[in-house]
Amino acid sequence: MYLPLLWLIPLLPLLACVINALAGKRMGKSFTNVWAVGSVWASCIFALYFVVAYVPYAPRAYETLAPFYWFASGQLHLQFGLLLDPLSMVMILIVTFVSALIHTYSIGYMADDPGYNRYFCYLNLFVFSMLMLVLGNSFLTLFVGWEGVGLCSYLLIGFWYDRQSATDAGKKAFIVNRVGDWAFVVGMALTFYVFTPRVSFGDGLRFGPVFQTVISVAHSPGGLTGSLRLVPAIAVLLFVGAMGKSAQLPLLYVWLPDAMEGPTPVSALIHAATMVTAGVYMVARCHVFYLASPGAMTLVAWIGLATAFVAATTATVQTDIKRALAYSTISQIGYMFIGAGVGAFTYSIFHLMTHAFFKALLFLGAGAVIHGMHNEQDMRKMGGLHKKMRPVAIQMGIAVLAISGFPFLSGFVSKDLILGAAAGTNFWLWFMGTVTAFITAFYMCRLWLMTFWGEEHWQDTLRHAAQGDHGAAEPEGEPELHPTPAVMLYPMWVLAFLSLVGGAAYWALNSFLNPIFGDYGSAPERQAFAPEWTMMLIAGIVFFIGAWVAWIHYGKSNVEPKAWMKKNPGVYDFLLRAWYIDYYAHTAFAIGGEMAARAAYEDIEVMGIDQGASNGLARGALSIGRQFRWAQTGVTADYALAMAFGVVCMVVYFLLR
Amino acid sequence: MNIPWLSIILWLPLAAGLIALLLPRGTRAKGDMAALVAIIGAIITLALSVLVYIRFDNALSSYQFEENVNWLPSVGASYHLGVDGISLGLMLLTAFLAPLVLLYLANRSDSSGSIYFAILALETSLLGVLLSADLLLFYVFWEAMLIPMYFLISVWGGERRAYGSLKFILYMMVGSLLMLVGILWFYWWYHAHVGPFTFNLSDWILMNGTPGARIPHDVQLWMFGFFFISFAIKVPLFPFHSWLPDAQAEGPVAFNVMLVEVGAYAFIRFCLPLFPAASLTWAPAIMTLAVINVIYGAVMAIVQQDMKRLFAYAGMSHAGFIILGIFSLTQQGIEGSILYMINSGLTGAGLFFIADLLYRRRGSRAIRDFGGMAAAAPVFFFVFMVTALAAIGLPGLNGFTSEFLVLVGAIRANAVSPVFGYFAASGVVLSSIYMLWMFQRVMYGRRPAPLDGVADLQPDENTTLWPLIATFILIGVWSALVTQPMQPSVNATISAIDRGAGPTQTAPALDLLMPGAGMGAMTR
Repeated sequence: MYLPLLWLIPLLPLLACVINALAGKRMGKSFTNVWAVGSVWASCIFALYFVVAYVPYAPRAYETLAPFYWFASGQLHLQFGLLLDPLSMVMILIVTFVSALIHTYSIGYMADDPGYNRYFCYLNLFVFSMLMLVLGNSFLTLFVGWEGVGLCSYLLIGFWYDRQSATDAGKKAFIVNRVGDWAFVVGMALTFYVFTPRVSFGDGLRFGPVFQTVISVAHSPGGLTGSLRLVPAIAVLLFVGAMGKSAQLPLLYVWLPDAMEGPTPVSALIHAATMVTAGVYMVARCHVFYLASPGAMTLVAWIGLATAFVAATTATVQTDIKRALAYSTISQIGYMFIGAGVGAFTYSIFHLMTHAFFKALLFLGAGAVIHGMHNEQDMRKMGGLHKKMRPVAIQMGIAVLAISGFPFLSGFVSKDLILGAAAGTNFWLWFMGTVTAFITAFYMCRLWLMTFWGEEHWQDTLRHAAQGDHGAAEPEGEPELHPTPAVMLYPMWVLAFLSLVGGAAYWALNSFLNPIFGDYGSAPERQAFAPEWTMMLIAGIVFFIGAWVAWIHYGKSNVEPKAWMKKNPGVYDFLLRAWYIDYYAHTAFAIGGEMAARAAYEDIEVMGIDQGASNGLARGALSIGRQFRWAQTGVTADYALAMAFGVVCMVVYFLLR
Repeated sequence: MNIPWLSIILWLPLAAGLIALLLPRGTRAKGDMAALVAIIGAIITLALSVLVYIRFDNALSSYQFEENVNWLPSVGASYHLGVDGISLGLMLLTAFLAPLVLLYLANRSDSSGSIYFAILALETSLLGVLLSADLLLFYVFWEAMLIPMYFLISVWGGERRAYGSLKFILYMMVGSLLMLVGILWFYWWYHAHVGPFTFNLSDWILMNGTPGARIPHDVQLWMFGFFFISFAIKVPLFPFHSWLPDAQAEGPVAFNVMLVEVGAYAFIRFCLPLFPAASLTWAPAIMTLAVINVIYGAVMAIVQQDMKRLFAYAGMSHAGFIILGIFSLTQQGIEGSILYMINSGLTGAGLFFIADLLYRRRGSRAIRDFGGMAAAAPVFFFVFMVTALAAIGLPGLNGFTSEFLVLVGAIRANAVSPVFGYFAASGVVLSSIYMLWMFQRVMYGRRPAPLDGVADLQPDENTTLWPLIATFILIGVWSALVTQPMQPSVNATISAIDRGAGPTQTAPALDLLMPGAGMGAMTR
């Protein structure tokens, strides 16, 4: 195991990005493909090599540093560095593997796009950033990736930049993320402040020494003393950063549903499988901070729960297939935070992994459907697609079962573990989590049924679309779905397989990750209110009830149950618009903020400072000058007179003295 | 032989400018010859500055490459030049920006020997401000700087150039006169309490290190005030900033780019070591202004319709960070500030070049006149994107390194509350709002008809912008290149404050967040 080779894992995609940016457009598509897709597969192979080579040494941590100083100012002496430990190994495997699959899929999906080369440049840059994020050995190196993925998300959401809605969504994503980063940066600065006097030179932001300090102090009789009492504040600040990146309630989730403006493979990779789970990874990476501050843990768990529940209820009435999946993603990340908040970091990372498989698959499937439907995303206009798109229907079906918690599929296992851990902490965490699981089963089955089952609306939709394209003329023949090319289908089969059996990774992952999450000392075993098998049984039953309710309502018809909507228009609207959170946040911050800024500019800057103080002073000087203008007549006689008068005064003065 | 490197660096631009100005009039080749002379002069200056950087001893805190000749012995003024860690980076920045501006202007038909002369004369006066180790010499260069600046705005400026240049010169003169009062007051004080007449900065600083000779606290407060107003106008600091948007909007690109942050430099160079006790006393008030600057400048930038005004307010927001770092009085804060001056100079140059590029293509600075440039000009899109990201502090590019150092310094500051750091960090959000919104309106969406067939970057534009991009990335991943030489000089400044403020005068640790959790005096 030659450590410096670890740099190749993030740098290969970066190199491909640079090469394609310089030459990709000129050299043609196959050149772009070789570099863009090839580099990510190469990274994946390197990642695999490192994991295999590293396993005998686990759970020891290794670092490799860049040969130059990024920062050098007093105690803030820091190089870029990569960290090799079980957590980063698991993450690079997930990231490189899912990325490689989605890159491959994109060859088919983006084939006709004029921005093909640009798309792969951004996507490769994203992979680089994400790998820096999960491999970074210090807060600052992590932050490079943290902001890098935010940038790529911005660029890819606004990929079709002639659409106003797309660039608006990209901008919103970046700015909302930056709200979180404000807290994150302050958290990093505080970390440096607290730990610099306690670690050796230049280590104030390195994960290893920082966490070791907390571990060694936390179990001493005094606990956290002195400035170490700031650790809970740091934990909360970092979590606010995670709330932005991972789209959590109460406010910072608002960018993710809009982010669906980007190309669908981007939604699969960035807005489902990898980037949005970066917050979960970061909390797991900093688990020592959280374990040392129970209040922050509680906050994480309950924010996660609230997000999981609210987003799930919202997903029940969405009709845009991608928006439904977006809310589902938010909800599932909420589960991961519940896991982290109750101290079950391994389960949280496990759910991150299984979610990466099935949610990426769901988005890729949705992409295949949208591709087939000539860019139609409204599920009410689909229906019955399983006859024409059997492989996609089967793949999506597997993913739906996995996320809904069909017994012993990957999602069932990981979700059940999180809920089991939550049960040991607080009954209501478990209870509401289980209710959310029921809602999840309902809306995911609804999504599949609306798209693939029930009445067929897709012919009408395509006919309408064709008429729209070619004027009023009747199109010839029956409308045809775009076929899904093999290059899109194969990656999906791989993910489908992993969604089915991914749960089996539990044993490997548990023994691999537990040592590092156990470094703080074993938490006291807390007894859940019921044995494990009971909870599994409940989870299984909950799935079947949810699926059954969906079947009743959407098994035959894929339009919303009109009667229910008519009876409860308020509730329907409330759910459809995500509890109005985005609406009020937009009104308060975007519209209100702009109005306030304009008012400040016009009233303070222009009227107050510029016209008032600055030009007012000038006017004042001018008018004073005018007052004394009579003294400067320019007539010699006047001056002579004044002089004579002065002389007389002086003479009088000296005479009378 | 002892070669006077700094004098060569200082006067070479002016000499080249004079030659460019005086080249015989009337021939077609004249413009090109003048440009050639000017560019060669500026590039040699840059090369010599790099040489000084390479031969600079990072372990020393004192002046290096020092030159000291009697100038006006009767009043005690000397021609005293020197470079230390605080001025080294800014000297390089100035020497780097001048050739870029000249290269950028060389191909334009409306450029002539006189604008090259103005630019190079400005370069000399800026370098003079940075390299002077004598207060009178410094003051002469400080004033001389205004002349080319005034002419740049009033001759080559935009439509309201008369207003912009007059406002600029009035603001600057008010500040300069106040500073002159301050300098003379100190000068007489020194004579009365130490003896000789001298304008030598090191001597003045030394006085505060001697317990008996220290200037009383209340006198310091006033003296500091005179210097403060002058520098605060130059920085500019709220509420003395009103000249900036007008001068920047009306000034030509040469003025925009060459507006190096010498005001903040002067704070570190003079205010801190000369008035240590006053610096400590004023620090909370100034940091409050700095935070207002960060937020106010950014909020103003959000609603600007004119691109250059937007960038001017963005610069004001950056200046807030710079001042915040300085008056945190910590090593990270001050070094971050110096780095920030350099980064803000580089990204500001990039942004104003871009505004001028857009003006070349459309004849307008109004944001609403643009749109849809991304598809038409991919290289320009990339350059603009990187510059904007560098300006808003994306890690990996230069802006972040200085921003983070300043925030770390502000939050660690023991003499003042860390709360300033928390509020200033909101600049992270606000900067992305003004920058990305502007970027969206200019680059994305539909293209207005006058921009059909708009050209991507031309070769001469590439030669100006790509070196800037290279520095963004270089400093962004390797900021030690810039900060390492600073350390001894900054340390010396901080210890001058410690000494000068004296043990009894050190402000108590106002650690609002964690009372009682102070970690000893001035941790760094």
